[in-house]
Amino acid sequence: MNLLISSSQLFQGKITPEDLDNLGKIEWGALWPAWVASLGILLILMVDLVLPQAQRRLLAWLSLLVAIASGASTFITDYSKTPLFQGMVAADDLSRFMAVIIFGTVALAIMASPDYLARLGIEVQGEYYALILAAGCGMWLLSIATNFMILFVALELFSLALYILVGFLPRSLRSHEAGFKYFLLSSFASAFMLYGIALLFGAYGTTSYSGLRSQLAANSIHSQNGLLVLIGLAMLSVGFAFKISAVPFHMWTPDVYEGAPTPITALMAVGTKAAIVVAFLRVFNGALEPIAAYWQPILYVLAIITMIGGNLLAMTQTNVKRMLAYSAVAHAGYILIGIAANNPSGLQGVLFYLLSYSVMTTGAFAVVIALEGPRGEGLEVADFTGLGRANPWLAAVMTLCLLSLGGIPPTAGFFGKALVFSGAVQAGGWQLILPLVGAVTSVIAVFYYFRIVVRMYLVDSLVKLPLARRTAFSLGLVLLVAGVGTIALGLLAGFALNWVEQAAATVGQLVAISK
Amino acid sequence: MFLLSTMTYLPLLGALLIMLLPKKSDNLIRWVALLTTLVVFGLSIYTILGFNQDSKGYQYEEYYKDWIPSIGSGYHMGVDGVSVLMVLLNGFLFVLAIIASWKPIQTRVREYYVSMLLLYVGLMGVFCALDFFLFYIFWELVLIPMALLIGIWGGPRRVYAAVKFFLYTLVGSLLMLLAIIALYFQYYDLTKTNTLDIPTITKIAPQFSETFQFWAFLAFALAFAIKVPLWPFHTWLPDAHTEAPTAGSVILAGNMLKMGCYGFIRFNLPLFPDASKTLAPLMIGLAVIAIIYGALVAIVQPDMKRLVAYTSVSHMGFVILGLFSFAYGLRGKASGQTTDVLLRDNSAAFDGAVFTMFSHGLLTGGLFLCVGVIYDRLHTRDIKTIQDTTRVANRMPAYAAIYMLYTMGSLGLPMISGFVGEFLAMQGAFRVNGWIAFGTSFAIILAAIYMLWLYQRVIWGKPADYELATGHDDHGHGHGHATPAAQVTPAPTQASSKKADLKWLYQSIVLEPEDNDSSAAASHGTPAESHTDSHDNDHGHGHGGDKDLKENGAKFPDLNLGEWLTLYPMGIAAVVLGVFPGLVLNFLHKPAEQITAIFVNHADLAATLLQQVGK
Amino acid sequence: MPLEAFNLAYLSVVIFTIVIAVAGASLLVLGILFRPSKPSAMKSIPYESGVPPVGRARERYSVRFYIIAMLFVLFDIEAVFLYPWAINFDGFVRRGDGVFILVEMLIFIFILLLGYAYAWKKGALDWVS
Repeated sequence: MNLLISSSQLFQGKITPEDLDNLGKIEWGALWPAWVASLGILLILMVDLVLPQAQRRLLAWLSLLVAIASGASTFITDYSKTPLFQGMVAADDLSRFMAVIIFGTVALAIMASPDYLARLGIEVQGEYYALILAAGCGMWLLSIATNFMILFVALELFSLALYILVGFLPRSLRSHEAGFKYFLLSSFASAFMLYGIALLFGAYGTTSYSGLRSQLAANSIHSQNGLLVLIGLAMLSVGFAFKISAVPFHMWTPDVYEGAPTPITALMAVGTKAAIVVAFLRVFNGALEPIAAYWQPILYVLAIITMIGGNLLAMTQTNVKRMLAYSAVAHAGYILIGIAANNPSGLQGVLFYLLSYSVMTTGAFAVVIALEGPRGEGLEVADFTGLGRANPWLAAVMTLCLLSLGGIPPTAGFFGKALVFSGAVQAGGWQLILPLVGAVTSVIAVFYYFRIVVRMYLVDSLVKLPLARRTAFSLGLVLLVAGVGTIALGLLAGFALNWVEQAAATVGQLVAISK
Repeated sequence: MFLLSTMTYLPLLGALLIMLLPKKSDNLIRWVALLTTLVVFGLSIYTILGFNQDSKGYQYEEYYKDWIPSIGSGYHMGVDGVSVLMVLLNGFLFVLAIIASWKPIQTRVREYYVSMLLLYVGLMGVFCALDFFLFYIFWELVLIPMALLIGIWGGPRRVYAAVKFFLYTLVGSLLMLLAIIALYFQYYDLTKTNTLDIPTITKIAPQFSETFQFWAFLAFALAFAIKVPLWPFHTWLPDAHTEAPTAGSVILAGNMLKMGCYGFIRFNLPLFPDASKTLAPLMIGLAVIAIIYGALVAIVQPDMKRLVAYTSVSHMGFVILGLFSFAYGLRGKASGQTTDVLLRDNSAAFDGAVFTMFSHGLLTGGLFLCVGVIYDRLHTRDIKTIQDTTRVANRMPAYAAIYMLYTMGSLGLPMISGFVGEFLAMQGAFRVNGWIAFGTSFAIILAAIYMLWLYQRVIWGKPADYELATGHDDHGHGHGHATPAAQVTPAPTQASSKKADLKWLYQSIVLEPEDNDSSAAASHGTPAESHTDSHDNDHGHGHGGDKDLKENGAKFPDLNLGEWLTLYPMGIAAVVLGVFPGLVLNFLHKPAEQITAIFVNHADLAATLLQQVGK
Repeated sequence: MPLEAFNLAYLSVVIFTIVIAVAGASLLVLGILFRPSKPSAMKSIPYESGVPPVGRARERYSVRFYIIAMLFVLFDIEAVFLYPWAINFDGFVRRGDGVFILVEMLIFIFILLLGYAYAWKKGALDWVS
């Protein structure tokens, strides 16, 4: 056991001053984003109690402020680059990177919400924003966890918040169904993950990533505990594959993405995915690195069938939200390429992919939000007909984001894809199949993305009702950020790349720090 | 000197300016676009005049090393003999394309010219970029505006054609991207430094292993073969050409197909010399098939534009034939022969290939413009319908004359540029194998068949009409800008008894001498469904029930100012090049020498290695 | 090391489980063996705090029950945290961290209080709304 104070000590009052000294200094400052977000949640809930109904729109701005403050607070901390809180969380460049991505996404989701909720006739309530912030906090904690305990707690923190948010739409059976489906399947997957964690703990008696890594490095997989480790690895893979929505564990994704309120869909598609992917990196490329030869084949297969399956299924969709959901599945496949490559280029590729993916996906969903009607209309591909004329700016952002999702330069998505592919190419050998499949499936992807572009520009038709609506200011801001981000990350990729490089390096540093 | 960057980004500036112009300023937009292209054209002339033909390597270089330092990508622009020619061709054709779309494009004018100028940015960039990343960005940048040009302002099946064009090219591009990445790591393995700089990587190319060269060659070749397009990857081309607006077709044929050829010259030959030699027979074989197949298919096309599109397939085959005959000629002659000897023996093929690239841009561009002229008047490209409608030569002598020039140029008449390129390419092929040259020479005969037959049908109309038409042929319209249709009409009325099925047509010509240009323009931007219907009728092999046709058969003016300004300069350029091929060929000595040097260098390296192993 | 430690530390739990199971089962078996068996309709009715049950077992309860129950569980569990704190309080005082640990717990309770206020104001404690 690596805990410095045992539970028996705790419950029998036998903690000595020496024990406390051994705990070391508590680095409160490393978790600034989480503190700010948590305090913000309390604040919003309290303000919600005292504000009269008419002024509750202020809550959106307040929570936006909290989200931005959480993200920004990561910059005021000087990270020591060592796991803190007795090796529970990592405070490194990757943590900072993730704080920006996740709280940025949270901020965008919040900005997209007020107009959307009002249109759907939902009274603004504090819970909505508090839960979004809670989810964001959980996602960030998940991405910085270096211990399976924190991993699991963080996972539950944001999952619980999302269960409620997904089913948030009153009078919408689809939303309720989505929430319930997400709840059932997600807890099922969590159970798998927990079982995997338990088996790994059973093998080596540790839940910390660094401890596990050093044990794995020291002991051969063929030794006594090898079987436990392998079964645990399989369980963990299932759990992660479910959360990242890799084929064949993707079944929940389209239903949940379609049923959830669209800002929440965006949050899930971007924030959750980013957090899980980074947790994935820390566990697989960090803790389980010594047995990479055992999990890499799993990820190859997952990546290939995810890219093919996700894109083929997306091709047949007529509902834009569903199509984007399947495209999110497909993108999980591209991300898996980088994880499977297990080399610096691959890791950098994954992180850059996350960055680009977050702006372009948010942008695409923001356009969907702008068009969605009170009863879920305006979501079909056909509803985009003539958007290029009715609302050129909206169409331009959508085009940009779709091109980026398809990986066409000079947008952000292209760099992400190219970097991920380069990881696999560098790894060489039969990993080369992955980028080949990726390239071919990208063309399929462009085909279905292009269907929307064709609808928007190339098909002249009468403009339908939802297109004529004015875009609210806050939503316009989201569109602007996403659009500019998509282009800027492409043209000025150099700046982002430096950052990504630093962040990716810390995944590997995990070994050096462990004892 | 930022000449190349200025040329590349000036159109972008123009596009931004056009976006900011107020609504309903269509003419202003056209003028801005024209002015932009004219300035760039001027700059490209300035570039080529200042270009030193006798110096090796790249000129007008701009190198900013730290663009994306972490992947070793720099901002590197520069031109050599081949690319400077392409830059000039770009500059020339875009001016003409803008003029050519002056009248025909009446809907979404702003978007049209923005797309056009963005396309210009991409095309300029592709030929100037000397960094893989930069190159790839420009390469892909070309796709979107072109797809939009086809998809918005195109014919009835434009969406299908646009998507097909886009996806086809994307498949190749992505494979090329993978090959670029592989190249990047290969370079890293050899030197332990990161770079995506094309000249730097080219320097080390001889050290690449044979298997690597083989696969990377195939990946690059697929991308370029789709773009060229080489048989069997050509099927997007007829669709794209047929549906694209006239100016789009001109750019597509004149510049975009050259991207593929340029890719072969810039990447496949110098980067993978071994693979180029071993795979040369394959490429030559595909090229021969493309040449013959394209010509055969062209003969039977009922649609003018489709026919011209297939001639492109045939002509671009000559480019590939020349390039790989060149590579084949450099094969296996390591010891003894110097670069000079090899070059003397083989440079004809290379020269022929690049010359064909240039002249094809002029001639096929011109042919597409000619098709556009007819289409603007009759709203059909169906050869039989045109033939049945009228005798074009009578009404449009100036048009018939310039069309003759392009026809002759395209089928390879000496003194016009088409001949030089094909002759040189075939001369190169002859050095590989006489039978190849023999086989491809049939393509010239086939070219005569399809071009002359097309000319006869389109310009001279139905054979049965000859006697009635000859009496009025010597009206002496001269260059008649707007030959009054009424002047020609009496003759047909006399003949109407002879040709009963044409009776309605001539009557309608008499009855409706009104100008119908406005209605023609309006029919362009109608909603998709009705648009499709009307054009399906166009294709209904002109039994004459088409109202559009009836109305426009009445008024049939000869070339207008814009058409004069596009067709004649292009034709003159083609003749000048046919008479003075040296103007282009002089630029090719150094690039050919450089590629030869790489091949020889590499062969020497292999020989020394072999010797060392032997010892 | 880990597996052995794992086994020994939890061995008592296993023994405890077995003893409980055996004891419970043997009591039931003894009862069946020794008691007189006189079944009646009244006896086979489910036991519900000594009151005869009314209505069917599968009935829908007001959702308020759940809210109250959940709130109870929530606050109850959180109160459990007070125990180890109270036990170790003395140690911290002796170390000189008394004020620190007191403030910490006050913050904890304050947050709980906020939750309580929230539940109250939102009407979770009102039976009829």
